[in-house]
Amino acid sequence: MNRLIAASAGALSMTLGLLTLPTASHSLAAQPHAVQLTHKGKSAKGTSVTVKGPKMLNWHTITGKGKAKNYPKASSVTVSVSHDLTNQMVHMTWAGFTPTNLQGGSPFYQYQFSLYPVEIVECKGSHPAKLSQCWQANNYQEQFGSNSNAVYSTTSGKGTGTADFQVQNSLQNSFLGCDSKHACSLVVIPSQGGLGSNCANHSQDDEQALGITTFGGSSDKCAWAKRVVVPLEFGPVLPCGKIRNPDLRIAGSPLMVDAMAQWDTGLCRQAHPITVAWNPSVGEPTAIQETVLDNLSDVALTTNPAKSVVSGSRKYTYAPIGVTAAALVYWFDDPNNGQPYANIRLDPRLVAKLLTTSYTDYSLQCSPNTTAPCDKAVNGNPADLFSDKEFLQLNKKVDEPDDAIGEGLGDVPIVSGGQSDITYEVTRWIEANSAAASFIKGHKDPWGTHVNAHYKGVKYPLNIFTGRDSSFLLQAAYTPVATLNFVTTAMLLGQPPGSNGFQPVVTGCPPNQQCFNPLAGEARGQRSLFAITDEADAATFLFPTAAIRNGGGNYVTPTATSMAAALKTMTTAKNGITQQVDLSSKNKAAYPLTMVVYALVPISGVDHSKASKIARWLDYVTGPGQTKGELPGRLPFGYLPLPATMRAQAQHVATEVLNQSGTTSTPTPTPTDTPTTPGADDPGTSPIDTPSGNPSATPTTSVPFPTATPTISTIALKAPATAGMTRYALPILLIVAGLAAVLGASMGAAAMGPGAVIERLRRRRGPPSSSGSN
Amino acid sequence: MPPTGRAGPRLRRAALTGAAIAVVASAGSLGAVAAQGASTAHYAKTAPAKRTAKIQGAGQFAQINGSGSSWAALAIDEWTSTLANNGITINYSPIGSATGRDQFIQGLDDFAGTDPPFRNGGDKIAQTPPEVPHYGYSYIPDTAGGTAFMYHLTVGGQQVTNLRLSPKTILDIFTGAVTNWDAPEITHDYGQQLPNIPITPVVRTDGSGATFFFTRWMSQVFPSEWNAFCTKVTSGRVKAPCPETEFYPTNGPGWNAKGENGSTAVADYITSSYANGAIGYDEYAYAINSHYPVVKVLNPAGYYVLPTASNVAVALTQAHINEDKTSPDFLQQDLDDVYTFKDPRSYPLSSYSYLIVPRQSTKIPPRFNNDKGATLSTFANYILCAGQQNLAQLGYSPLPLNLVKGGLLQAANIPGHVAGPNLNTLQGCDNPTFTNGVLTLLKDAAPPSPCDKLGEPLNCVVVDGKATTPGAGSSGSPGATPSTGASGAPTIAPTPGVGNPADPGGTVPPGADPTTGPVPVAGGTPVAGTVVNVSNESASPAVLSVLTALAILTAIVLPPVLGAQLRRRRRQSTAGRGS
Repeated sequence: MNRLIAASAGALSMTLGLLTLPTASHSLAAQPHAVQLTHKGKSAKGTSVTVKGPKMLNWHTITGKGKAKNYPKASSVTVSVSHDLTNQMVHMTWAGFTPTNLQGGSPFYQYQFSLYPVEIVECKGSHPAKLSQCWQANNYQEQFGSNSNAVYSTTSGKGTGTADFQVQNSLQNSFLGCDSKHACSLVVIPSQGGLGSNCANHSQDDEQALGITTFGGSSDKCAWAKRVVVPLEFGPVLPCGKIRNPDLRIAGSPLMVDAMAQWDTGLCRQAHPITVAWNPSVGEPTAIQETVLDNLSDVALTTNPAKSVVSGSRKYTYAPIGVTAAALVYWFDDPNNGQPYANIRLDPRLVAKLLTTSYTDYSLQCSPNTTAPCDKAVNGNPADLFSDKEFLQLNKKVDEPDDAIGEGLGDVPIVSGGQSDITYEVTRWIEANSAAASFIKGHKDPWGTHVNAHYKGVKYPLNIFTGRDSSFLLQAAYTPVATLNFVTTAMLLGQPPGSNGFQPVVTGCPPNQQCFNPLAGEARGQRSLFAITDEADAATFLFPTAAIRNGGGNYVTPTATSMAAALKTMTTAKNGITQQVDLSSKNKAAYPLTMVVYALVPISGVDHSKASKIARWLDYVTGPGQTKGELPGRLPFGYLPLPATMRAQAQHVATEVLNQSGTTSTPTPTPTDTPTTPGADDPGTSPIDTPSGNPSATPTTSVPFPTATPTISTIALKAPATAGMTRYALPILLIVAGLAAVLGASMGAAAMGPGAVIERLRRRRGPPSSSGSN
Repeated sequence: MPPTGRAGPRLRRAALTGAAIAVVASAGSLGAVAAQGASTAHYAKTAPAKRTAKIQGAGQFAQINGSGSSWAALAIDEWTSTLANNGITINYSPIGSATGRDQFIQGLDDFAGTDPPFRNGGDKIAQTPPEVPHYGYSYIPDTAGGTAFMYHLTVGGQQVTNLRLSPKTILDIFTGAVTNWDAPEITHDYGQQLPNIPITPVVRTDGSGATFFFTRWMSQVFPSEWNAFCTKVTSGRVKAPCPETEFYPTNGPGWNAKGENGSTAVADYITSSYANGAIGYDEYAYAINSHYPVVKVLNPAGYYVLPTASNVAVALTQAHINEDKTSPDFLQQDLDDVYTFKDPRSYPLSSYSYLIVPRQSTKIPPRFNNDKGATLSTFANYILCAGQQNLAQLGYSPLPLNLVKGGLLQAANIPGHVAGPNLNTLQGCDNPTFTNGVLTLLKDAAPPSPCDKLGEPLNCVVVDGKATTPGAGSSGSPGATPSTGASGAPTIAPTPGVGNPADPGGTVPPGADPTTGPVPVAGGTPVAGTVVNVSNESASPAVLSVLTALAILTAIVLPPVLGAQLRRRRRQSTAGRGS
């Protein structure tokens, strides 16, 4: 049965490909419905824009002969930002649209198999007349799939929907070529059924409006005719010019990816440009080692301090360069309307349950009837967050998403492997909470949930996530990814890493080989994904970010306010310089996972040429680089500008670097243990120096700073040009979309077959009464 | 809604589900159709246009897409993120070499990253058919590196980080001949016996260059053993001589490996708490990323060496490159002499990876054009020059000069290419890794520590540049250099979360039989604390040196009785392994 379905899927793909292709690029003569632009207020920069659309089909009124009425009220689409756009995400909402029909297609909200989904595409010009002017997965403008930014979504029973869309400028998409001189638009295309050119005939809508095929099928004309066009204005696009040989080598801290990219495009515009070779994938501890010990890098970026900052003649100190945070992000889609939940709250114990894979996710539950492999280490625990009473007490009226079509385990957290300061901070926050710490030690929570036995007594904080439960399914599914970038990618694509542990049924696995199915991709409308990334990516990609419990018992999300509040609670390490959040602080406004990123820079032993480049770089990024904005040289989304004291501190260090003075008025960090001293195998081998226990101390402020040191101030610091930025992360993240979707969807279906999938989901969701519309 | 009288919604849904999936999933098959349809239009039409670089303008670069090698992926990631600042958008998906080449063959990508060349003869072991590229192509070397053996060995709550093995023992481990860490072969290489811990060999299940490089080395260096393994594991399906493969067999008669899909999954498995005893192979960068130790491999000169940038560079001076500029196989590598190079610094499992790019005056992939060629050639020129200088940080090695020059020559064969650096003088090539045509890294490559020489005991320390065994005169000399420090590479990786507080001294391997009484050591070096103390979440770089020092100290201090225990057990296990 499974084989049959999969085989026919393969055969159909050929047919469908041929069918889809030509029709999609056909000229569609229909005029768009009158669209009226209604800027909110005075179209100031960054304000949202709302566009009125046509009256949409009301499928409740379809008669036996296929006739139907429209809703009496006109539809509308709102885009969060429509001016000075660069390569960025925008948030879209719509109202008055045709609700996605759960009776005729998929019983769940999802764009692939539901009736009346929505497609959103970016198009050339502000009045696109044909779909071929748009960048779409299946119109073959340039290539299939690979980096299409088209979004498919569904509409709730109330006619409303939301989506986040990555608009691309000319750097990311030369086909569209959007920049300050070339206007573009976002076009929302609602599936409206219809039969061929007869858009009033809805007698066969259950095929003509089904899933995303509708946008490449014979009824796409009717959908296109009711498109809603939102004009977009892009900012100028000014990348760096000449490719230069790197002046500096920097390693570490994936937290700084977004800021470093914008700083680089600002630095190259300086009278004396500085080019940085930096690899974000190097974790902080490795970066420190490669800088201090191996001299493979000139500067390390880190949050946790080094043990030793001396290597031969080279001596190092720290300069703060960025403030951001670890973000606990999620996509939990409401099964009642297909829209993502927001405002989720998590406490340390809930996060501990996720990170220790302590939920059974149905698949792992042991029962007498179970034939599948179960996991005694988690037996008796709730299936997932959504059946955990602790979660439900914190989050009222949150129903379990229709997640993980295929093979469960959708709640396995998406985290980065390798050593990481983010991992350290998150586990430190868990350990600081007595309820969570007690849970990990083996004490049950008030509802009887226990920690996964394999994780019992695991010592937090730690700076690397490693799997500990070797049970069949968890071993395959729980896969910390190589770099933080991949965490963000997985969230964007709805594609958890890891596999389901089952061998594929039909794909060509070579003989004498084991091959596994990747975990099923989770479609928009059904997602249940949880990940740990940084606030810069969370803000850039508009991920919903959990409000988490701080020492004051409040639930806070990372914002400028909450990160600034956290800075006030910081304690200072033994080195007298680096700081971390005091998790015992009762400050109710503080976001507890706020992190300061430091540049570990040499203050002796480096030649003048190199030293002056490091100094100028530091001077720039902690000077003009701390002004917010999505422009070259500016500080992008998700970072808090350094407070004045930290800026002064950094600029002071820049002088030290320039002069290579070695000893300064700053407390010179002394190595807490030296390479030749055995006996460092005490708790002090923790990467973190124990905080000095003086919560209010900000020792760096007591250091006298020159307001502007003569040497540094001679460095011309041109104001950053008003220009578009480049952000490398977005296109890279999108490129895999096609493939991941391919693998996820096809493998999942091949293994189980859609019938079985739906059956299984029904089982999981319990009695039908709970799955009705809201 | 829904209308009645036709196929029920459930049935229709099932059919359409398949169809809808196909829309998403059919990149491959659709691409094939499109490629065939478009092929005539694109055949040999593209004139070799000479263009100058147009870097200054905004948005002038067409975006390009590539996919393939994960072996080289971390380097490619750095290059693409750096060039993004210059308005050059390159999307690269590390989906494995085999898939990357397939994407190129189908015309779905503008370039591929691959470790092996096209498998013109197919893959005998994996039974994959020969690859037939439809489009013209050239190979451009992108980065060199070493295939490293990352392992997880925790003894008494402490992680072993100084493992050294000979090529034969590595072969034995990955062909099922040695299955326990206490085997005499390992004891012989390592210098002391490890406890009874079963070995879990971890292999890549996806078609991978790491597998290709590793199996090619085995098939060349140990042809008879490799042939025996290959024919046995395939139950005779594959006849000797067995070639290299991109798909390592995970199971078969006498062989059961842990298969993992992709570099990340291999690293995840090895670092997991339940993987004590595991050993896998992949590019060195992944071990560095995981902060995990890799095996020091005995080279033909008799030194145990790490895949550091300089050791790889030394080895690759012996790579023979196809220098026939008219051949499509131009720049393909023949590594046979790399494997046998007798320089004390040479890391024998060294190799390099390629980009496969379209070639002018041939059939061009359907979605490729001159604008993309300008981007791709700019990318190639960059990675061959300035892009080579920061690779050591990631765990790679810069390419030698002949490969850089050959690569630049091939970049000038990309349709629509920009003008590259001067091929003779390399003027315009910001490659600081050369001084007068010699790789600086090579010139400065440090010799291995005398303590890494075959036969030196584990507790060897360097005193005044000479290998010295503590206890034999100058023990505990403060000027001693830890043997692991000489290569200058991150060799020891503390592992978190694997600590066993039950045995804080870390002196007794957990596998040791407590009932076994002390027996005298007969002529062996004292078996001692070969392991180093690692706290649960240790991450400090400076700790690494401490650990080495500790290891030495422990080695000095520990009583020889322990060795006796182990020795006795080894005999038992050796006897048991006879069959």
